[in-house]
Amino acid sequence: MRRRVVVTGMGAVTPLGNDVPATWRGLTEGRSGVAPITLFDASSFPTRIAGEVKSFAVDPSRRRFGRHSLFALGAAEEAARDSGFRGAVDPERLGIYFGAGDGGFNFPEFAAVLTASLNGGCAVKPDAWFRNSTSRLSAETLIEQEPHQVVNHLARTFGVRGAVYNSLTACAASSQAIGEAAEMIREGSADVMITGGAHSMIHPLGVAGFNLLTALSTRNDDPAGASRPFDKERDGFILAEGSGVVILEDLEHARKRGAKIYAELAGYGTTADAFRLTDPHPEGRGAIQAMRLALADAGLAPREIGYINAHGTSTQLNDQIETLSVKAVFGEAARNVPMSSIKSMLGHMIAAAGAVEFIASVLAIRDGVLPPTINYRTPDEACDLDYVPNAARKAAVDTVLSNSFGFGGQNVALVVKRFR
Amino acid sequence: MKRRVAITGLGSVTAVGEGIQALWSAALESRSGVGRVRFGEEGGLDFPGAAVLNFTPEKFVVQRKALKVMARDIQLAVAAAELAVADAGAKNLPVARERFGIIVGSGVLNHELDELAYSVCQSLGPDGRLDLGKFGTDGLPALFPLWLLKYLPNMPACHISIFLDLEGPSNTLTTGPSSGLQAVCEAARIIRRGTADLMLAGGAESKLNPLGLSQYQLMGVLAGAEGEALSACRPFDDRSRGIVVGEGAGFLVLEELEHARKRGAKIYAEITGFGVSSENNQKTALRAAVRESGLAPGDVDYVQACGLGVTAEDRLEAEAIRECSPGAIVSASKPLLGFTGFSAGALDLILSTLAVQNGVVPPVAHAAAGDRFGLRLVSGSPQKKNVRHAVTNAFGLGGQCVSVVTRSLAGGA
Repeated sequence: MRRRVVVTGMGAVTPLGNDVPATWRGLTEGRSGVAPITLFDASSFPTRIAGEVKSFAVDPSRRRFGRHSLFALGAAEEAARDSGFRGAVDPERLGIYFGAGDGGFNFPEFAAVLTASLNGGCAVKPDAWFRNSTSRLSAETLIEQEPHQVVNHLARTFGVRGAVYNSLTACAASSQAIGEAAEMIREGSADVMITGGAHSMIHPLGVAGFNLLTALSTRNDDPAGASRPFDKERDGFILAEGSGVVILEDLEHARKRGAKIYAELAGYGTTADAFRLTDPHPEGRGAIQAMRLALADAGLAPREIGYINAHGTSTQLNDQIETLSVKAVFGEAARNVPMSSIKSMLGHMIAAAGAVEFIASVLAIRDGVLPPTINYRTPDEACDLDYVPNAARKAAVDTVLSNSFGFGGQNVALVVKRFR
Repeated sequence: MKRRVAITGLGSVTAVGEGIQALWSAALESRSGVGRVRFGEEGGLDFPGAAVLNFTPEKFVVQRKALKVMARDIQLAVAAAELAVADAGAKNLPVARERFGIIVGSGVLNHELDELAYSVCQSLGPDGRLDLGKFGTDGLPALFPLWLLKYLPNMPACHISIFLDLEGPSNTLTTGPSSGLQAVCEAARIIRRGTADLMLAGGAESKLNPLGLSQYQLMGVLAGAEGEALSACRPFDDRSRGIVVGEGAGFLVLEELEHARKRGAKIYAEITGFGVSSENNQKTALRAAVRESGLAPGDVDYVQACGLGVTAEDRLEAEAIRECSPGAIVSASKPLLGFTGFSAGALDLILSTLAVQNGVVPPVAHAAAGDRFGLRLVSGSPQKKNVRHAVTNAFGLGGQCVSVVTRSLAGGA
């Protein structure tokens, strides 16, 4: 029989709060964590708002760490306390499968070295660059910005001796990490996995890059109202940062040590669109297949799903294609399944988004509350499902489908269900 | 019954040429791809490096427009992936597309400095320093619209899945220099558990540019440009002066063994086990790989080592090899191909696969005869060896530790 995988701990650092309770309170109260950018002077950028993590206390010994590592360690420490796995698992049977992205980028410092190395015009003199960069930049900064530095810090902090992975599939990364971490427990390679994601792209080049792609909302005069998934007036996503960490555990291992069990991870599906870099497949081919695979993996029919936590980015194309894909998978049942996007409140935490959405899915089961899609005002005929508009809803749900779709056509669906 | 994983296709683009024939003959003859590489005008930046010369990405990317959004790392990746799929005879196979996936080992791809320099130039204040206000109005529009996509770590996998129509599991691992070999492990796991029948896996990197050179220099591992610079990288040798930067891509097609047999595919080897652990846990990874393959340490005949040529790293690896696969003969490819980052481990697995298939282990270029660091390095000429079980390692520079065990299926096992 297949080993069952359960959730025994969770942690989060998000624009709505620096732990799970604060984040969940914000989500169920329908509050927005989006505000003007303070991390750098964005006053002339097309987009000047984002979902920043606020009042995050940095341990002095971690001052040089990248923001992704800081958030990941914060969330992981909460998840570890919550789960109580420390000292209760063989370090060789403890692994990490994370979805960490960038850790920030000191653009002004980089630009200073660049301008000092120009050839008199606007091109770089290679030898001058080599001289200036090696004397003025630091190895530590370079290393701390690397995505994999997050898993190095996690492995050191928690004494991990098992397998260590980091996946970076854009906006699907941490969902993919959670799914693969579950597979490692199922196949018997580990008993406990630290999984989730962390990301911070709120730096000049990150915002500029997404602005150039015209992917971001420019509703700068209304930060809290800017992210409006499934609303007809949606004009792009809101960049956000933070981390979500989930402790997954083999059921028998959790039972033996008397761990608190939140829920069971029942299904995982992953596919590629193999279609186009910037756009999802127009018929949602890969997204549909990922949802079907996750449902089949969980042994559930679509009508048995009580709630869908949508990818719901607030871009025109994503929300329309996601709606169409859900309809293709759920058929008539689609109209009866509530589906909301918490990106309406958090913005898009990119690599970390899926992990926080997974946590919200687990808590929806625990508390019988569905977080809303806020800023839903103008219905769109192409998006005609029940998006739990504007206010949280009491509803007893036992099963949740959580979707994540990444730039470049990577699709991940997870199914979580009440533990019985 | 446990599903078994075979290697059925190999593809490489390196400084010694395009394709695995070029790679294999260069390895046997110790014909190094390292030369002097100059950036900018004469008297400018000049370093030893293993450059891929005369690479024409148009040969592999029919949609010319796509090349504009592909960093050189991505172009190399697509080329090696196409070569591997062609070698496997797996192009347009009549299999469900969602049963064929891809895992790429990747990471932060280097920006082209001039692209950013032009944008920064439009953003300078009267004091000659970056003015973020001006960057927002003038610098940002000076970058091209899809600029971000050119360098995103997951883009190699996306382009390859699009060009080759792979709708199966798609993932990008970013775990430092070992990520390419770790991608192979991940692909093997996916085939074992039954989620796919065919997987492309590997990596690509091009940091042979001013940005990459300065990054490695900052990390304190770059061999200098002076003296006998072309042979500065000497794995498992106290005289080694560090890494020589290379560029390249290596991809393998992994296939469920019965699937491969049914379609009459050429089968190079079987992947019997692997180990993946956190940084500086070389022993943990190697021991796990050997154990998972059901082997005793003495059963490993040959190790294709990571052999970075960074003495502290090589010492850790040598210790792991002595303890976990004692008696094995050891080869290493860094003096041949340079340090090719994300692709290094995948390229080493390609080399060890060819060694297993041919019963010949290539020598370590520039290695003097005799044991070093307590290892039986192959030096001078290739060594004939009937390899039952081979280990391939990818370690170091703060990344994860990965070991893979392969064996020949020539006996029909």
